[in-house]
Amino acid sequence: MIIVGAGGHGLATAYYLATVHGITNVAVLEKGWLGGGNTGRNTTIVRSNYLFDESAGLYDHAVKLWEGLSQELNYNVMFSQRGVLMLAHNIHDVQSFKRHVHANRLNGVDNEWLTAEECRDFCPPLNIDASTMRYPVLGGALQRRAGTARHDAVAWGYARGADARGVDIIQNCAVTGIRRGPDGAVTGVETSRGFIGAKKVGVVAAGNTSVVMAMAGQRMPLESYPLQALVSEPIKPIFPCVVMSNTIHAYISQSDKGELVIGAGTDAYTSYTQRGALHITTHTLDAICELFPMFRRMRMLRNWGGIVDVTPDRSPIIAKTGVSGLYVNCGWGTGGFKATPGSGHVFAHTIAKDEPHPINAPFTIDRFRDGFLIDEAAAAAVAH
Amino acid sequence: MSGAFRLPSGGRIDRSRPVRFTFDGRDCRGFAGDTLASALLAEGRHLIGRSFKYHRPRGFLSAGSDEPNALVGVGRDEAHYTPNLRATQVELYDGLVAESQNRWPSLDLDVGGINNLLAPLLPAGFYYKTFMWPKKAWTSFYEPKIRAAAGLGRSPGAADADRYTQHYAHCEVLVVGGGPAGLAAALAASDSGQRVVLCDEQAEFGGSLLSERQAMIEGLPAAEWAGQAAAELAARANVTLLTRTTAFGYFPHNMIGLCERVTDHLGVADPRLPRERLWQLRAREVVICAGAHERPIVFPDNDRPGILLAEAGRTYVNRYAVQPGTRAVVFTATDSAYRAALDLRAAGIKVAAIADLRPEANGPWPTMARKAGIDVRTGTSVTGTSGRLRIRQAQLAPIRADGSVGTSEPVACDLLLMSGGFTPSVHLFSQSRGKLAWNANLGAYLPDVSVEAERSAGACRGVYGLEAVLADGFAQGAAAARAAGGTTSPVRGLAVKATDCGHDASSARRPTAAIACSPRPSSTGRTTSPPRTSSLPPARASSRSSTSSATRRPAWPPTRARPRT
Amino acid sequence: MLIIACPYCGPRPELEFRYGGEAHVARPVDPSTLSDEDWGAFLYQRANPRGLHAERWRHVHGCGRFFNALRDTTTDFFAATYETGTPRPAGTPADGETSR
Ligand SMILES: Cc1cc2nc3c(=O)[nH]c(=O)nc-3n(C[C@H](O)[C@H](O)[C@H](O)COP(=O)(O)OP(=O)(O)OC[C@H]3O[C@@H](n4cnc5c(N)ncnc54)[C@H](O)[C@@H]3O)c2cc1C
Ligand SMILES: [Zn+2]
Repeated sequence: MIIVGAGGHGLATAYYLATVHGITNVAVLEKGWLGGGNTGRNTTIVRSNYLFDESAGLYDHAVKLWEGLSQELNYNVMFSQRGVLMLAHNIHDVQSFKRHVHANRLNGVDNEWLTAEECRDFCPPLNIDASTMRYPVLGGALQRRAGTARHDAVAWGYARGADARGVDIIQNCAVTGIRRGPDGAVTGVETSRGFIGAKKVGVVAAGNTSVVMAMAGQRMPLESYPLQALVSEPIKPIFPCVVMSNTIHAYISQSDKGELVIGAGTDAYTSYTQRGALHITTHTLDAICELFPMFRRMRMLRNWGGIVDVTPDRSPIIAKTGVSGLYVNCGWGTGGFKATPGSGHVFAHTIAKDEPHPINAPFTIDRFRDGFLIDEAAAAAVAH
Repeated sequence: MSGAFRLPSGGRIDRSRPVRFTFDGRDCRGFAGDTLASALLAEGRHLIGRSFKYHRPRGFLSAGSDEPNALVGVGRDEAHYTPNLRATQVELYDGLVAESQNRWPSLDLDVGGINNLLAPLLPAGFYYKTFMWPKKAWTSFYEPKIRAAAGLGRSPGAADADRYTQHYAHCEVLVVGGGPAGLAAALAASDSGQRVVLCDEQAEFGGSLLSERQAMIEGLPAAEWAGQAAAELAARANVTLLTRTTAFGYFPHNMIGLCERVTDHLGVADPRLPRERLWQLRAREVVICAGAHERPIVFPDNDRPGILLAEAGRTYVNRYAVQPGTRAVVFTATDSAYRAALDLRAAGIKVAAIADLRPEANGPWPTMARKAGIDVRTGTSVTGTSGRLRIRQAQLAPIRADGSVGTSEPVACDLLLMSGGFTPSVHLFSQSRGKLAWNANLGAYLPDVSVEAERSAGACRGVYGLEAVLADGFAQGAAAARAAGGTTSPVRGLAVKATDCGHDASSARRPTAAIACSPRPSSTGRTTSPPRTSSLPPARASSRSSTSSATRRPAWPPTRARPRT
Repeated sequence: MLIIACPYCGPRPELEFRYGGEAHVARPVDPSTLSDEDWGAFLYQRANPRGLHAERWRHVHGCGRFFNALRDTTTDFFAATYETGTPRPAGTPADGETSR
């Protein structure tokens, strides 16, 4: 079996193929370096308070795996359940978040409503003085089990675990073609380092999924956009949790290293350049400075971009494809890091058994033909 | 009077304007024109910070924006407090309040320093392999402890009291960096009457010229020439000069982000002024004149306070009239450090020895150094240093023909200058997505293939001799103006009288034993390869010159698009 | 921030425009006769190429008009902009080729 892409999702897939299904004759092919794609570029927010049942099932499956992951991998992925607070700034936000709170509870996912003062008590740097804000804080939804994890460690931990069980991880090896037999089924892949035969190929190439799937003649319901993030210089602990604001459009946390980690939405146009425009970043920082005026003098240290693959309903695809032996795990857009363990776990099942795990059964490509969208895009203004 | 280590005369400080400031609560003095770093050095203060992980005592390494150690918090109250500023960039003003960071209870007595003793037990990445059991302890115990140890400065404690603005602007030619190359480029580019913007992160234009003692340009001392050139530019209506302005990002289609620090250097600022101005500048052509950074040399304990880059030593002596020590050892792989040694000597600092990694050194500067009676030891390495909060002694050892290191001899010193050659500052070029090429002669990466409408000039593309730098800057400035539609072909001699040390050039041969002598990797810096014989780098290749230009360039200059059909 | 040459107004900064996704996606003349497969493909499947991309832009803070552009998604440089309703300019490389 071949996994295309050594990001967190590809490596987790290989790990669970080996540990859960006993399949170790697996090669993970990576055109760059291990974890050098979105896995190494994301802002590490982990949460599961999505609106729809299907999403709650998938993301909470992941959170449960996160909770034991360091021990399972014997590698500290620094999963830190410091809480994710989503701020409401207008009546629509309030109604929508309260609906989320109720829906989540019905699905056994923790989520609670806080008043503005409770938000400030949970996150002291937060400005809730309505007289100084264009969009005052009206309250927020808090998921306490949510938090962050150390992104590189996730990739390295899964890679170590997979490698120890006999999986081959080949870096600097770009897949350039997908070879198919007379019956149309996959027979292997062409790479920059030669042909590799395989009966099953799982594509986990994030922003490059359309390009890889086109090698098998498959058009995808995907568009690839640049998503930027940035960090400040490291400072002593000041920020206890993760705060997101969909309305004024920014989110922030503090890494264990001390950097303030900041992000927001994608750039406006599709691109593969892994960079974006300055006005996107300044817009994000305007929002941060409004919410946290005491950070305004902090200086930013690094700014970068990744390429995220976005589906029309902002929910992922973890599925079989129109080509026998070809599987795809994509469409995580701006928010797939949080799903890494769950995604790998159910995708490994899908490849090994040639049928989806119940958790990922709704996340087909066919939903865009049949109309069974899982429309988190409409349910929340922003992903992550 | 300020500082016991202030030279009685010279420098670019304004002795008629004494300035008072505090550092860690202690009253200190300096002059207008000082940086916080030069003023502290004038008071004999070398210990300025603690390293991130092991809390090793750290001093000033450089005199500019490449400073890794001297990070301080500045601000009279929480609403004006900024952490992690480089003391080498903080301009002194009356009433400035600065504090050191990452130490407890004080800089001189720091408990975190215990980590230094534990270093052998804390290899890189050890976090990932520990702190997992018992499961609950990560969030309740280990993580809070790790977080408390992380970070350098601290966040301001109150809402920022200042205002900020932004500015969108256009120009035909943007010149980034106002050293000799940038000044020459701006002089040439503005000849055509097109809009030229010249920016520099420092308080005054001149760059390396401000640290020169002997070089003359067009009959003037170098620093004076820089002032003259800036005045000439300021008199041209088509030129915008921006000091204290950092070009921090190169964005698609020749958009450059500039951060202009408007009031940070003022004790009392006009309340109508913003603290900073963000420029989003669209230039038709960009000339990058960002200079080069001197490389440290890797040897054991090369991070003690009192160990500086050689050019930084020159800058403190010549530009700020400060003695960074009284007895120096110079450790080098280049000729330029000999010039630094002679500048120290001229400022009354005893140069105990020059240890040169190379088997021989016979250029004009080494010859002058020997003539001046300095103890020059070629084929010699520094194998270690001692001194707790300041260097006290360096170990000098001969490098044998087979590359092994002989017995070392201690040399007492309170200052060690090092020079491992120069690295062209190619950051902006790389951000523009230009491709670098390795130049084996210079032992450095140089700009090669351009993507955006930009070009590099001077040290940032490996051109080092002063006369060559000025000529290169002028030629690239003129070429940029022509590429942006200008029609003139300016000519200017820019005659130089100086003894070249060719930085990496001519006399330097790759030392045989080089750095292999270090018994263990140093806790700072990465291994650097000392330079070899050099020639000027080849002219840069450009993907823009050929037929492909139509598709690679942004939709600019403003031609009207396809006719309607 | 990109500079985009509106065919009607000339080069303007990206802030004046709204992105409109892939160009030349023709709406089926009679959707009711289409298979689910084809209708889904029309609605959702996109070329999303690495390299030249024919795409729509709208000059919202300008003339307000839609137009098409050819942009290289590996460099973000434009090869051409042209009016809506006109075919892709002759002689330009196909989708996914680079403009180099
Ligand atoms: C700036 C930013 C912030 C984000 N913040 C968050 C967040 O806070 N929370 C969250 O949950 N998610 C976040 N995300 C999204 C998250 O990063 C991704 O959804 C997730 O990491 C995807 O993992 P992956 O393993 O599928 O992709 P990747 O890590 O991108 O791995 C795909 C790999 O495939 C390789 N590849 C591609 N083509 C080929 C080929 N032809 N041959 C071989 N290899 C190939 C790539 O090189 C890459 O390494 C963010 C993303 C970005 C860019
Ligand atoms: Zn228009």
